[in-house]
Amino acid sequence: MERRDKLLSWLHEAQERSGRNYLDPKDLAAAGKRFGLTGAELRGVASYYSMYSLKPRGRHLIRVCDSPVCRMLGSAGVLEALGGALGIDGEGTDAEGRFTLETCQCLGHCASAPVVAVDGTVHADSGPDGIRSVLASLREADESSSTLGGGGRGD
Amino acid sequence: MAYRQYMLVCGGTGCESGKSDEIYKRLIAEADAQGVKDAVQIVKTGCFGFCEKGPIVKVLPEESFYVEVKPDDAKEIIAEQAVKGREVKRLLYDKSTRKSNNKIDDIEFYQKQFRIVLRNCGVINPENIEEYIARDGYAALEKALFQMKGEDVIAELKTAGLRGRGGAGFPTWLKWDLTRKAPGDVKYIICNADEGDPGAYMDRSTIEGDPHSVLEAMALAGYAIGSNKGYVYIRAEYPLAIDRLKIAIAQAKEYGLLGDDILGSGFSFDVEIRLGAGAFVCGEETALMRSLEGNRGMPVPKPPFPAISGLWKKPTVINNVETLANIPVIITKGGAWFAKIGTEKSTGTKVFALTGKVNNSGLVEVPMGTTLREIIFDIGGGIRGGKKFKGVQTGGPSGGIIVEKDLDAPISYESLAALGSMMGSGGMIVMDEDDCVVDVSKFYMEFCVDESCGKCAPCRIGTNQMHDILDRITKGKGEEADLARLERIGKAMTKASLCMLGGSAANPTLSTIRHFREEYLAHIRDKKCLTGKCKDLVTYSIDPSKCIGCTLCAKKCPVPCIAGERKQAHVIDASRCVKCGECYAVCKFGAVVKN
Ligand SMILES: Cc1cc2nc3c(=O)[nH]c(=O)nc-3n(C[C@H](O)[C@H](O)[C@H](O)COP(=O)(O)O)c2cc1C
Ligand code: FES
Repeated sequence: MERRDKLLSWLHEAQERSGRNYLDPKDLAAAGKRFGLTGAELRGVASYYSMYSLKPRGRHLIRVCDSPVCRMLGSAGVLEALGGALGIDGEGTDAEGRFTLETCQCLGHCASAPVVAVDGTVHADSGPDGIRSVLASLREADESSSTLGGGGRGD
Repeated sequence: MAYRQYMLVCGGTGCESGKSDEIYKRLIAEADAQGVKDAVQIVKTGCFGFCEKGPIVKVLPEESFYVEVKPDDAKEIIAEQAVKGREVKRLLYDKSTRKSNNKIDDIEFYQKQFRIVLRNCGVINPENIEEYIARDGYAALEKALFQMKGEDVIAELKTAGLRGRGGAGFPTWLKWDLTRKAPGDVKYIICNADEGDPGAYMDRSTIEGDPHSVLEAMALAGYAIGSNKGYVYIRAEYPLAIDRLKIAIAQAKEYGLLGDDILGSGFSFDVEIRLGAGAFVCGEETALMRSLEGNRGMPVPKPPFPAISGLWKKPTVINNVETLANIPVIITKGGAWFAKIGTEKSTGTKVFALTGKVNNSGLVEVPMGTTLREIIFDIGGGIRGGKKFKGVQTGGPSGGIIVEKDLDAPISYESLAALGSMMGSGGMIVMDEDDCVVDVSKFYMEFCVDESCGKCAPCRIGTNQMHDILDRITKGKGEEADLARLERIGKAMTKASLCMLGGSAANPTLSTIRHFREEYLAHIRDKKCLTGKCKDLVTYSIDPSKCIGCTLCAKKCPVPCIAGERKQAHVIDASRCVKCGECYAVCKFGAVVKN
C-alpha cells in the first residue's frame, strides 16, 4: 500500500487522464485500493480542494482569476466575454462538453492582470484585446485534441 | 568555446505567455541562419522582475535591455547586434535618454533595488545547474559541510537576524535551533511554496528563476538540524515552477549535491515535491502539513509547534521560499554582512510583487527600510494614467491599506504593523482614485469566505456575516450601525479564530473603515459610490449641453441603450443601462455624467 502523501499528486494525474477534467468513480476506487482509503475518505479529500471535480467538466478547462488584482483590472468583463463567446452563462460547461468556464483565486501572475488559465497555461493581459487570442487558442486546442484535453499552448 | 555575446531571454511564466519561448527559438534559428551561432549564446533565464514590459531580452556585454520584444524582432536583433554590433534602438527600454548605453542600472525600475533573493533571476539558465554553481552556487553547502558544525550554521543565521518572509517574521535561527534540540531521530524540512496570497508571486518567480537556491538552503537546514529529508509543498497552479524544481532536483542528485553522502561528507539529504490542489489555507503551516500527508488541509491548534511535532508528528522546520533563498548567501558572505543591510530589527531585503494601478508592475527587491513612496513612485513609476494615489494594500487578505500620509514610513515588520497593516508575504497592490475601498474590502472578504476551511466557527460564520454586511453597503442597503457591527464581528474573529486566516480576515475591512469612514458613510447615508464601482449606486446620464452627437458612446454601449441622431444630443435609457461605464470612459467631451 502506498503512503497517502502521494494522494494529491495521484488525483491530479487521474483527473488529467480522465479527458473530462474530473475524478472518475473508477479512478477513486483505484485510489482507494492503492492508498487503503474508503470512498468517504477519498471524497472528503477530493471535495476539499478547489482544483478537483467529482463531476465531469469540459475537455478544456478555462479558469478566470477572480482575486482582487484581476478584479480591479476587469476580470468580470473577461468572464462575461468568454461566457458570451462560448455560450456559457456565468460559470459552467457548454452543451457539447467542450469547455468549462470557472473562476478561481489568484494564479500568481498579477502583474499581467487580468489573467486566464486555459488547461493550466496562463494567458496574461487578457483584457479586451488579449481575450481574442485566448479564444483563438481555445478553438485551436479543441480542434487539435478530439480525444484528450491535451490543450495547445497559447500561440 | 568562448562566445562573444550572450542573449538572455526571460523564461518566466509571464514572459512565456508573451511568447518568449518562440522568441528564444527564433533567435537561435536566426543566429544559425545568419552564421553567428558560434559567436552568440542564447539562453533562457528566469524572471527579470520587470513583468509589465515583458517579454524581455537582455544582451551582454553591451547590457542592451530590450522590452516588449516580439518573435518577429528576432531577425533584426541578430542582424543588427550579433552581426553588425549595433543595438536595436526601437526595442530599448528608454529610447530617449540613452547616450551610449542602456544598462540595467540606468533604468529607474532597478536603481533602488538590491538583489539577494533574486540574485540569479534573469541572470542564469535555471535549468542548468552549472550556471548556478558558476555563481557561487552550492558553495555555502560545501562550506557548511566541511568547515562548520550544525550549530555554527544556526549561529550565522542568528547574527544575520533573518526573519521569516512567509508573513509572520519569526526568527529563522530560533526555529532551526528549537527543531535541532527537539528530541527524535527523524526530522523534516519543508519548503512552503504554496503562495496563495492574491497579489503575490515572489515565490513562483524565485523558483522559476533560481530553483537551486531553495534546494541548497533546504540541504543546509537539514545539515543544521539533523534531518535527511525535505519536501517542497508547491501549489499545482505553478506548472513551470514545478518543472524547473524537478529538473533542479535531478541535476543536483546527478552532481552529488543532493542524495546520499553529499560531496563525500557523510551527510545525506533528499528532497521530494508534493503538490497542493487549490486551497489557500494550506499555506498555513499546520494545514500544509496535514495536506502534505494527504488529508484535507485544515489547521490544528498550536502548540505543539512544528519544531516539536510537525510532519507525521516529527520535529519539522518549515520555511518560506524567500526565507530559504536568502540562506546560501548568508552562509557564504556571513551573517554580519547580511545584518548590515536593512534596519536593525528587520535585516536584509524584501521582495515585493508590485501590482495594481502602478506604471511599472513587477517584482521588486529592496533593502528593508526603503519607503513605500520609493517603491511605488520611484521604482514603480507612479500611478497609471496620471491618476491620484489612493492607497496600497500590503499583506493581502490579511493586511490593510496604507494611505498617502504614511507612505514615507520605512518598511519593516514593525512599521507596517504599526500602520495597521503587515508585511505579509510581499504583495503590494496599488489603488487609485477610481477604486472603491468598500468594494475592495468586499473582494477580500469574499476571498476569505471562499477559502475559510470551516473548521472554527468565528472564521466560518464571521467571514460570511462581514461579507453580507459589506455586500449590502455596496448595494445602498446599509445602515450606520453596520460600521459598528463590522468592527465588533471583526474583533471577535481576530481574537477567537483557530488560525490566522480568520484571525486576520477582518483587517482589510477594519483598516479601510479607519482611513475611509467618510466613503463608507457616503454609501450608507447618501447611497452614493463616488468612484462608480458599486454599480447599484451609480447612474449614468448625458448632459445635452455638452453632447455634440459624435455617436461614439452609442457605438460602444454593449446593451445598447443609448439613442440619438448624429450631431444631436444622445440619451441613455437608465432602465436598461448595465452601468458598465464604457460611455463615460469613451466620451471626449465630458458629456457623460456619473452620479
Ligand atoms: C492563512 C495563511 C496562509 C499562509 N500562506 C502562506 C504561504 O502561502 N506561504 C508561506 O510561506 N507562508 C504562508 N503562511 C505562513 C506559514 O504559516 C508559516 O508562518 C511560514 O511558512 C513560515 O515560514 P517562514 O518562517 O520562513 O516565514 C500562511 C499563514 C496563514 C495563516
Ligand atoms: S490576482 Fe489574478 S493572478 Fe493574481
